[in-house]
Amino acid sequence: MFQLTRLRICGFRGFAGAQELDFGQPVVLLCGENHRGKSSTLNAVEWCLFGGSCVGKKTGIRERIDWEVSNRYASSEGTFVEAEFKGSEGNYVVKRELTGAGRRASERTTVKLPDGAQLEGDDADRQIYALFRSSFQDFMTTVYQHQEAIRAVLTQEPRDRNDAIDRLLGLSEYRELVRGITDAKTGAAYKAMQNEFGNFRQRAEQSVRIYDKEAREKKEKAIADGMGEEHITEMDALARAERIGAAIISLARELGITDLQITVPRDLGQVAQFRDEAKDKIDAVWLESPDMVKQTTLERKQRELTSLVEKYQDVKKAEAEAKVERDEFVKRHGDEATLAKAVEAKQQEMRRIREEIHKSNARASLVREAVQYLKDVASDNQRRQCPLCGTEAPELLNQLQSEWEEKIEIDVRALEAERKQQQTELEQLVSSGDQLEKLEQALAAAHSCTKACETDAAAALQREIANDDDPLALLNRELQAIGSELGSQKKAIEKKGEKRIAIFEQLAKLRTIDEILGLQRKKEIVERIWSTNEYKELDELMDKASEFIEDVQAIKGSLATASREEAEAKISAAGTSLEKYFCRIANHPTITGLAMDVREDPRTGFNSYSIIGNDGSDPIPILSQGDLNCLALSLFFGLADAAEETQPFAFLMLDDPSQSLGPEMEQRFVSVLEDIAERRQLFISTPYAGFKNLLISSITKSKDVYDFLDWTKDNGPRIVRNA
Amino acid sequence: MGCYEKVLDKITMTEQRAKERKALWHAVSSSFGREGAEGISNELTAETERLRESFDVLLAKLNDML
Repeated sequence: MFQLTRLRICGFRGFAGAQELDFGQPVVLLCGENHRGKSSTLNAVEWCLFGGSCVGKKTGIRERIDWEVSNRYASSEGTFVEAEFKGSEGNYVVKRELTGAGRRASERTTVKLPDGAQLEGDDADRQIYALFRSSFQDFMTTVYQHQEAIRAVLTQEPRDRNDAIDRLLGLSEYRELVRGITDAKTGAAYKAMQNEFGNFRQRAEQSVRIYDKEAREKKEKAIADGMGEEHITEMDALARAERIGAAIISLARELGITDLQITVPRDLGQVAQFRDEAKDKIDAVWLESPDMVKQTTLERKQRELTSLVEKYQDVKKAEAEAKVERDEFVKRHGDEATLAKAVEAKQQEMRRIREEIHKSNARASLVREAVQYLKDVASDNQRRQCPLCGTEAPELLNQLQSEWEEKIEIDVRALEAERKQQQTELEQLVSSGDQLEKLEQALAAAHSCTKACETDAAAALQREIANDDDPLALLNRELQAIGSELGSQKKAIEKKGEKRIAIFEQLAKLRTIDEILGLQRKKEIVERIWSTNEYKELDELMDKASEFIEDVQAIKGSLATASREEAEAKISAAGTSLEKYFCRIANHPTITGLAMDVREDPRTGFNSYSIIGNDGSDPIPILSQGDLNCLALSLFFGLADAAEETQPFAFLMLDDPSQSLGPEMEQRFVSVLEDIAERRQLFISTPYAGFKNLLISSITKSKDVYDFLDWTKDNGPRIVRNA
Repeated sequence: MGCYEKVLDKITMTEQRAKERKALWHAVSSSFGREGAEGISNELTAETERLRESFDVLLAKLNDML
């Protein structure tokens, strides 16, 4: 077995410059606050032995993802760790260096043998494996208790705890492999393909049923309509098409078109195109034939004249109504001359009234001036006496003025009333004049429309219409003539029309046959899908995909089984020690014994661990954080004990093992360490001064105590050794 | 015996498609060695996508026949 006797670290993790630590004693304590380089010291041993294997995701340790091996402020000496191990044959010095940076970084290993020989590169790596026969997983499980492992076990989440126990048992690799396979979601992708393939087959089968049903229904209907079943063949359809083509050419000749050509189908695929062409050509021949052209012309003329008749009747009616309205107005209000005369008379009367009002106003002014004059020329006595009877009349002149003004005012008021009356009547007369003018205009417009319509009728009839002609009668006579001519024309083409209808009936039958045969052909095509190369290839592809999924599942299953079996073996080996250490450190009042069991979670393929108390119940719900810390330590010690006989390392490394332990648990834990120290060299790191003191005072073996003091970026930790 | 060998043992215990499964396991563990769990996921996803692409091409041809 090998003891670790010396460690030289430079530029690794928390170390900047080179520092050397000697470990001559059975117990080594690394003490100091967080971020002082204690864990880096323990990690350095691990990296020196296993290099890149203890870095990154694959370790299963979250903290190791994006782990920086080199210190950011590393000195010019570079990054290396040199560890000296003392074995039965002498001392071995293992050195691992990191050269380059980032993706170009590479490791170089050297091993110095007891006889002074030095091995390098692959030879050195092989020598390391030959000496220690351990993988990183073995080392992590049975030699180096990581502080992250305890932290992870402390979680109350079963899934995370299972993950942490896997890590404690060194099974993270299995877990990561299963996770990688699960994340690929191959099963879901295959299921989607299976569904789509299934849907396609379903649709194809459905299409066959639908085509078959439609073809049968159409066939039954055709037979019910009088078509013989023997006619529903491709040969009959082609012969029928040929006959239709000949009939169309014959009809065209009868209609006066001699240069018509039509392409007869040679196979069933051309029948649909033939049907369209035949229909278009019949329509064209029919519409372009002289008889039809004449009939169309007559019909157009008939529509034109009918429209003119209706229009003429409408304008004549409108003109008559306008005339009646105008005449009734004249009857009530007089004609234009009468109204003009009445307006003139009213205006004259208005002028007379205005003159009367003017005269009255002049008279009032004269009376006011006369009275004022008398007031001015008469003495006071004369003003107070009546000039006729001499009697006393003190207000005579004022009274006289008042009487006159009153009289004149009455006259003026009467004249004003009369003026207003005349004004109203004048306005009414003017308004009547305006209305009459509008009625005259409307009548003129209606008359103009009638004349325009008569002009249109003359153009349509291609003759002049004199004033004494009745356009309506002329139009009706022409309409009668056209109607008679149309009747004769229709009779003339009726026979040809019958032939045309007969061709259409043949075309309809051809269409029915074509549709039935088309549906049968579609059905046959879909039925043939099952024997196409594409379908066979797809079927084979699905088999291949199924096999691939089965292979993936088989590998996942093998991983799960191997992981579970390894977990079972390790738990079984560590079982007694696990129980012993847990009961001793935790000293739980109700849990006097426990065992661990592992099963495969069939849903995820991961290991699922359960702890069983000696009463058969699950103690996890009543375990404290301290108890879970004890469980993690007990599992580690159990695994270490189980591996002790074959273990090449004579030391254990414990990184912050007491993180959740209470004072009494710490005491019991230290007593366990005291026992282990009898058999193994112990490296213990702790940030707690109390726990450090407890270790110093309670462990009876000699100790090397290293205090990790200040940390500077130029030098890394300042380490002081206390004996 | 390491994880690789243990799983290989389990695979070869059943005769069914042992050769193919050994090859697949080798590809899976190589991807894991290079890129971890993500590497496996990428490797298997790539194979699934290859199958899916061929599947889509053939299915499109068959759909056209319907």
